[in-house]
Amino acid sequence: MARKVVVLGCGRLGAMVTQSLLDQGDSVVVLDHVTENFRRLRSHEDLQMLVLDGATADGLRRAGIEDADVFVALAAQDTTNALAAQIAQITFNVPSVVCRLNDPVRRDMYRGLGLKPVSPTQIAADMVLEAGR
Amino acid sequence: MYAIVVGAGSIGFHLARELLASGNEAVVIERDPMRADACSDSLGSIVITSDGTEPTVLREAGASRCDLLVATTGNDGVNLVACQVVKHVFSVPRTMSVVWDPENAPLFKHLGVDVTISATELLLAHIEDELPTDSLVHVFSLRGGTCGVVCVHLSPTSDVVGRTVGELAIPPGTSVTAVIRKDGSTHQASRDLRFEPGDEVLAVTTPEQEGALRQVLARRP
Repeated sequence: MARKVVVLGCGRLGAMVTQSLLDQGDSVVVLDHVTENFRRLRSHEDLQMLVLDGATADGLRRAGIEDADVFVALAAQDTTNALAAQIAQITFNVPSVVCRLNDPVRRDMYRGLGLKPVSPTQIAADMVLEAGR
Repeated sequence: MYAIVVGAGSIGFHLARELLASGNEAVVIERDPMRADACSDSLGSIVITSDGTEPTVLREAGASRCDLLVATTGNDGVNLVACQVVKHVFSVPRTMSVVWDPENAPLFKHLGVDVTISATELLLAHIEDELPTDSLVHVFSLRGGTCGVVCVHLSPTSDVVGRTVGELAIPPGTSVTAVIRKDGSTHQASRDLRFEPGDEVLAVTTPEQEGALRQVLARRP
């Protein structure tokens, strides 16, 4: 069944994740506070793009977080993602919350707190080391 | 006491100054170099120019031996992460945070921030104390709108609290009929019934006298 996913941040990573979710049949609401960032996406019947502050309870409510199956926080700042992800997890009980955290130490901490943190820094570092072998 | 203050804005700067003045040890972490310089110019070399949510920076600031962290930046996300990092990574016994969006206050508490301070809510509480909002509600209108039943909520600051129904200067064409207490009990508005804070007062009045009735019931001493 198609899931409803809310994605915070439409930078390169956010746009790429949004496109892949649409391709696999999910419906996506993507949030960014800069309209210009939505240029990275093509329009799609299952895609909604909203210009708002997605790191607030009010912004997430307007994005329909209350009936979302998944929330993905992919803003540039770890702190923005950590706040938004925990609003989604605690305030709105979203079943699955994925959170981008560049800092591996904070990633480990938030993993312990029940989020699903992803550290692009760590992944890139691992790949660089692997490629240089 | 040893305190780490995250953010050297207006709140953080004055807070650090007061903490030092009362004989405590304090360190301020501020990311913005201009603000950090301004702060160290007047408080001395207790300022670290860096990101107060980074575990390495917090370690350098002595998080593992500090008694208290206070997050005072203008960003709720930064404040929350600073508190969570020192609590979970460094086991700091007490964390306090400024919270800008009042909706975040319960979330911060749930996530283990010991004390949240919401400037918006503090101001709002004062405004509600000082300026009770319009407390007269129309219950329904009668006789084609020529008169109607209204309900007035008595704020604790109302002048009539402690007085009796008989003492009121009730406007002409108006009758005060019943009082509903905060506990839900209802009382007929007999002359010797005494008003209490939080009472809901039911009255029959005309549109012309409504303002006068509001004046009588909501007037402050």
